[in-house]
Amino acid sequence: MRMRPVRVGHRSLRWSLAAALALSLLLPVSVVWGHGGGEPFLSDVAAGPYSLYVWLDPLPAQTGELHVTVSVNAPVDGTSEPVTGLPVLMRARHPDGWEVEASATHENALNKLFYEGRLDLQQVGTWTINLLIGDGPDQVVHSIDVDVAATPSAWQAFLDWFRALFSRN
Amino acid sequence: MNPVLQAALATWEWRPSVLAVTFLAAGLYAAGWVGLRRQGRIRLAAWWRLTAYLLGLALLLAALLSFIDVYGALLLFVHMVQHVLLLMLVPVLLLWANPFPVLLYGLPVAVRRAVVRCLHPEARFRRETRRLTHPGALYALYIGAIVLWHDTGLYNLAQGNGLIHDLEHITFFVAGMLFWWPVMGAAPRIHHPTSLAGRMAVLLLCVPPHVVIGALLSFVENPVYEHYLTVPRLWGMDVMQDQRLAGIIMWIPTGMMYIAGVVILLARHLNQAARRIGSGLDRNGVEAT
Repeated sequence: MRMRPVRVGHRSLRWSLAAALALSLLLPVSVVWGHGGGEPFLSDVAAGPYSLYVWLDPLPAQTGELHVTVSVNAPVDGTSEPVTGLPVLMRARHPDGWEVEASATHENALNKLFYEGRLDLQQVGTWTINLLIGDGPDQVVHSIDVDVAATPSAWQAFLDWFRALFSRN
Repeated sequence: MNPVLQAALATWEWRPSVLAVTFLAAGLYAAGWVGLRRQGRIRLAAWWRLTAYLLGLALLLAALLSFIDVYGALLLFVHMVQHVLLLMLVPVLLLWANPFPVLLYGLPVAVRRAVVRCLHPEARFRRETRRLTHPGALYALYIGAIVLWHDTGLYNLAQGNGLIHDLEHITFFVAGMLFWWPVMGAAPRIHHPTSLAGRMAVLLLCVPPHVVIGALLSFVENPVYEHYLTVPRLWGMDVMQDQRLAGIIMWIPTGMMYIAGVVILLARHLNQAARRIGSGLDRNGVEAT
């Protein structure tokens, strides 16, 4: 291949383009590490007129921020469709009396059909999370129990992640 | 508007890493394109090439960041559309733009010279790359990636693990770019030129694996991928309807795209032959006697 040498005008531009090249080489790594998402916790569980799907991140849950994603579905023509636009509130209660509350909204969720909220759970133990779906007399409450363990050290977290990578079915 | 469709259009996962790299790739191409046009090399830096390249990048963003990626976890047929984008449409559009010389022009002179040195006919890098990227090996890699990632166990694993899911997409994109590179005849042209018959044969050989996987998905009586039994359904589509639609996408439109590729190659060949005859030159550009 023959290329005529052409000078790119400004030094800053050259550096920018070189940085672009270097970054493009990092694409595979950045894509791999950039993806998030929760683990399924409930799947198609009846709650009043709805069926619920719940994902938690992280799962197993650890002390700190727990992302809870909820899909509220209603039956339509033999299958079900996600219901949007409902107020969804999450109330978490610890056996020792600690309470945490947060709203789950479409804005927080990656998939705008779902509701996502973040609960700051700082105590180890089994938390009971009440999902309050809708409001008024039609409100539906569904409870889930989530075991929260102490957040492991960074090294232990890496080992757990690595082990999980190869043990998942 | 249908609430599912409305939510789909609002669903974007703004992953900074993907955005940054894609926009920088576009910027690098644009810098090279402008530089080449200033040098008067209009053929390399044609408007249609810029359009094809940017369209390819836009489709890449749509495949990785839009509802296509997110809904693919709920609907198999959407995931299949994503695969078609990453394996076929995005690589074909990017390579159609013949981006290598343009991107090279966008680089600083020192980097450009280093790349050109690596690709010198006597350079070891070029020899090794040519050896490793034999079109037959690239075909095997391409089809191997498609077959491997549609294995039930691996597919469910990818759906349950973001890391493996992303590796799947990277494999598809890289395998797609490598496979289409000699077929499209894009630079750097380090391989011996593949004959028209060879390129057509390679494209036609892609059809049977797609037909087999597509037919299996369409005709099997049980859900193949358990993952889709555990997620909410959309658009009133049950698991089996979704699976059949995914199979049909894999089977018919995808297969047709390879056949369309063969037709385009043949049409281009006939067009070039007609132009040669019109100008009185043989296939090597020598005046016919």
